[in-house]
Formats: sequence, structure tokens, C-alpha cells
Amino acid sequence: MPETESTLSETVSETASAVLEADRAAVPEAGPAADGGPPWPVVEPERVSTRAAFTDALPELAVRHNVLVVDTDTGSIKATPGMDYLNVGIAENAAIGFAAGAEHCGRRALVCTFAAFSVSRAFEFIKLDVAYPRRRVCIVGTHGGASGGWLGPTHHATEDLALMNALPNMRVVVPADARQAVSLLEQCLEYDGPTYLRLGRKASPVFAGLPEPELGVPQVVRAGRDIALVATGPEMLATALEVARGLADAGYGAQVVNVHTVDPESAGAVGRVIAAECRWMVTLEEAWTSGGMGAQVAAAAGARGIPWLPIGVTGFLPPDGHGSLLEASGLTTESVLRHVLEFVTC
Amino acid sequence: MEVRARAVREHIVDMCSGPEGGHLGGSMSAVEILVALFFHTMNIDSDDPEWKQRDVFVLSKGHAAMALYATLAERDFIGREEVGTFCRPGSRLATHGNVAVPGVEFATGSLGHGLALANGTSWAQRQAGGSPANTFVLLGDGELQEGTVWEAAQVSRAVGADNLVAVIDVNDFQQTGAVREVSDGAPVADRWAGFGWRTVEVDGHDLAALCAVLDEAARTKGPTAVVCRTVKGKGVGALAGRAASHFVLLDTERKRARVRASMGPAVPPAATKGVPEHA
Repeated sequence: MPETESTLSETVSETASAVLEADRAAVPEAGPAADGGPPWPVVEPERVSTRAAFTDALPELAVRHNVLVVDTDTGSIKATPGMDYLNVGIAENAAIGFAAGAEHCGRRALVCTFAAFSVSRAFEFIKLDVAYPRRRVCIVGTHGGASGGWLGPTHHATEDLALMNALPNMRVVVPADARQAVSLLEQCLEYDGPTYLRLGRKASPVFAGLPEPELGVPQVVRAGRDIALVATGPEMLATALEVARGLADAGYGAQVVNVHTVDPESAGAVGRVIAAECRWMVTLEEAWTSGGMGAQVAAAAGARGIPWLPIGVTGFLPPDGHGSLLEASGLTTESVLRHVLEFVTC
Repeated sequence: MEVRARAVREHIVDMCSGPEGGHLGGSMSAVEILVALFFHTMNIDSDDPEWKQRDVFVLSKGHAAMALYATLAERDFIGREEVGTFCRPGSRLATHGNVAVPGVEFATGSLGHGLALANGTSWAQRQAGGSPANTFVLLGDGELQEGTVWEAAQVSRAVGADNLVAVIDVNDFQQTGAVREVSDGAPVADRWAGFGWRTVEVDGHDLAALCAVLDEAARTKGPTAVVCRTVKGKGVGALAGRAASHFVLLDTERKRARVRASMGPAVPPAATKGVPEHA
């Protein structure tokens, strides 16, 4: 039996609370972590693309979970014998409808797309044929956020989190690194309902010491009681961890939370916990802040009146390298640290 | 089957009695198509609507839900007495197909979805091996203006959907007028043939001809489009063949009586010549 929404939310709250409670005793008010505390994740020298991790992991998982794989000419799937694989071509609406029809007849399905084309173009098919009937369809969107880079605004997907978060029943999943991508992919393929799995394009940070993710349960990966840095996705989590170090140097204890499931149910739960634990809240995401992860966290935290600084993409982005786009959007360490310090001292 | 068709039309008139009114024209044009499918062509079980080996019916033109509900009532998927609850508080029978109703497979009504869904169901049926069950999807000719129809039509051919039949109810009208006046697309049959579908044309109100064509369409290789020439509002005298029949509220007994009178005398209970009706 799938967990009901309420029990899942409670689980999230309890988990986050438990972690927060445990960390509270162990961590000083400010400065670097005390020796002997839980290890904080560190960015490894090697970078790995979450999309590549998905490409490598899918064949075995698709066969094991008896999943129909519907592709839309993405080049992201290595079809293997034994995998039910259909490339329907450049036809996102037809692909979503196909998957929904097959699922109606009992077959779990995954649709592989570019996030920029499935989410906004096929939104109504996702809404009516996948989310409304709660079908076991996993929609994978690669090139999430600004990772499309030089491909330009046609291929950037900064609206996807807001659109998918607007849908009831939809779990919205953004792995923090390649390892989490594999684990969360499998959890999406076991989940009793619709999921959207947002992946990047090229190599992105990988973290040592990041705990195994559990769908719907945010992860407190660094303890601190002044400022909560709530991050989604590899680049933003890396930024948050670096910013936390900078804040420690400035005398602030920063808590870092990895929100790999960003829908209202999951992100909202962490928001309520954070509001009770910290004095300031900062959300970081490679997406439009209207309706993204931060908006879900803040909506839940709002009743507690915690000051909130949303950091994310605020407009259309020009064609440029992914790194340059993050910098221009104010999503890199130096810029975020400056903004956070202004926010807490004003 | 003529008796069934007549009964379905009477149910539709009852449903239009309110409080909401209903999509009379596009329901009436599809009556014989639905009767042929549900009483002759399709292999279905009213005692087990979700039977795994069933033929699947997708009502892509979801606004014709009244015709589907009425057919399901005649076919014993729901009680005939439920027809009178259409759009009344607490009813399962909504303006557009409601999946809470046994025999309604998908929530349709946003046009242009059914064929994509039918691609998926027919694929799953083929995976079962042996002689696969069929999927029948009913579209309107106005609906063909939705581009997603053609996206899916291309996929049907590409994946070799032998067990897929698209039935197009060509009643020549959409909400605001004649289809050819609103948007004069190429002839319907030409469009399907151009997409590589096996295409047949038939009088959509001739039950015997429909049964023969649908049987053959289900058996033949490749996706088949059955292009049905129909009359919007068929059987409803003054409204037949007019855009005005699209959505009608028959809120007085006088209006309903006038419509019933225009439907002519009840059909004598005789089976359609040479076409067996499944019990």
C-alpha cells in the first residue's frame, strides 16, 4: 500500500525534526563544525552528469521493474535487448499519451524527454492523462535548468519545477548528484503514482558523504541554527555548502538542506521544520523562483513569519555556457554569500 | 440494433432536459457508431468492465459522453435509471466522460488526446501476445484541427498498430459553425490516407454497413481509419444538420415532446439484417 500524503508528510517532518534535534546538541552556534559531528558532504574532484548516470542505469532498472521506455529522439537512452523501448520521435504529446495508455492497461512507463519540451509543451497531456489519474508514469526531463547552456533559451528549462509543482499527485524530483540520480530513478520506478525526474546535461558536482536519498524526504546535510540554506540540484547544493563555510567565517551557523524532492508535499514539510529551527531561510534553485522549490518551502514556513530570501533564476536566459549563466543569475558562491550577508544584516 | 439506437437517442433527449443541457448534436451523430461497436464489434463484458482481454473504446470526442453513457446503459454497464441523473447533484454522469463510470476508460473532453492514449492501449494489447484485442477510438471532424491528433497518427503507423481503429464522426459541424467554414482542411479521408493509414469511408448511420466495415477494420493489418459520414443532431428534426444542435437545453416537457415527435415512430423490434447482436 502506498503511503498516504499525510503519513508521508509526517515522515518528512519527523525525519527532518529528528536530524535537526540531533544536530542541535552537536553543533555550536557559529563557526566550523565541532569535531566528531556527522561528516558534512564535500564536493569530489570528479564531476559526473546526472543524465549520463541515468543513461547507464536505466537498461537494468527498466528490465527489472518491467517498465515501458518511451523516448522522444533524445539520444539519452541505450536500448538493450529485453527492454521494452519505443522511440516515437519528436512528439512529446504523443509520447506522454502513449505512456498513459499503456499504463492504463497495466504497464508502468517512463518517458524520456528534454525538460524544455515535455513540461511546457505537453503540460496538458501530463495534467490530464498522467497526474489526474495518478498513473505510474515517470517523466524524465534532461537539460534541466540552465544546463542547456549554449543551446539557448529554447532549450533551457527554468519553468519546469513551477509547472510540475502546480500539479496535484505529481512528485517532482531533482537529484543532488549522479549517485542520487540512480537511486531516485529506481524509487520513481517503484512509486505508485506519477513522477517528474529532472536531470542535467553535462558533468556536475558529485558529493562524498551525501546520505542515500529517500523519495520525498529532505536531507539536512549540515547543521546550523542561524541560517537555513535550502538547495536543490547539484550546482546549488555545492554553492550552499561553500556559502555555509563562508557564513561560518562570518560568525553565522548555517544549516544546509538538500531538497531532492521539491513538490509541495516534500518541500513544504521541511519548510515547517526550518521555520521552527532557524532565524533566516534562503532557498537556492536553478529555476524560476515563482512556484519552484523555494515557493513550496516558503509557503509552508510562512505562517511562522521567518524571513525568506529566494535565490533562483528570475527571467529568460541568453545562450551562454552553463557556468556563465549560473554566474550571471547570481547563483555562484560569491554572489549568494554577499546577498545572504546583506539579508541577515539589513 | 435499430431498437438500441432509438433507445440511445431517447436517453440523450432525456439527458438534455437539464439542469445543464448537453452536447446533443455531436452525441446524436455518433449513436449508430457506438451501437455498432458496443453491440456487435467489440469484445467486452459488462460484468467485468476491466477484463484484461477486453477491446478498449476511447471516446476522444469527450463531449459526446451522453451518447456513450446511453449506450453503456443499454449494454448493462450501468443501470438505465442512472441516465436520468445526468449532471444532477451526486451523479457520476458528467458533461464529459467521467472515469468513475464503468466502461469510460479515460477522462476526455480536451480534444486531441484520445488517439495518443489509444496508441498506448493498443500497444499494451499487442504485448499480451496471441491474437490481440483491439482499441477503437472515436474522434470528431472538428477535433482533427488539434495538432496532437496528427502527432499520434504518425506514431500509430510507425509502431505498426494493427489492432487500432480510429473512427471519425464526420458530422461537418463544430461549435461555431460548419467545419469547412471555420477551417477548411483537406478532405478527412485524404488526411488519414496521407498519414499512411488504411482508410475506408462509410455511412455512419447505416448499422449493417458500419458493422461490416468495423469488423474488417479490426482484422486488417495497419491502423485503420473509418471515416463515417454523419449528420450532426441526427434524428432530431429541426436541429439536424445544424451547428445550433451543438449544445442544447431541453428544459421543458414541450421542447422534449417536440424533439421526440421529430424522431418519428419507434422502430419495430427487428434485428439488423444479417448482423448478429452480441448478447
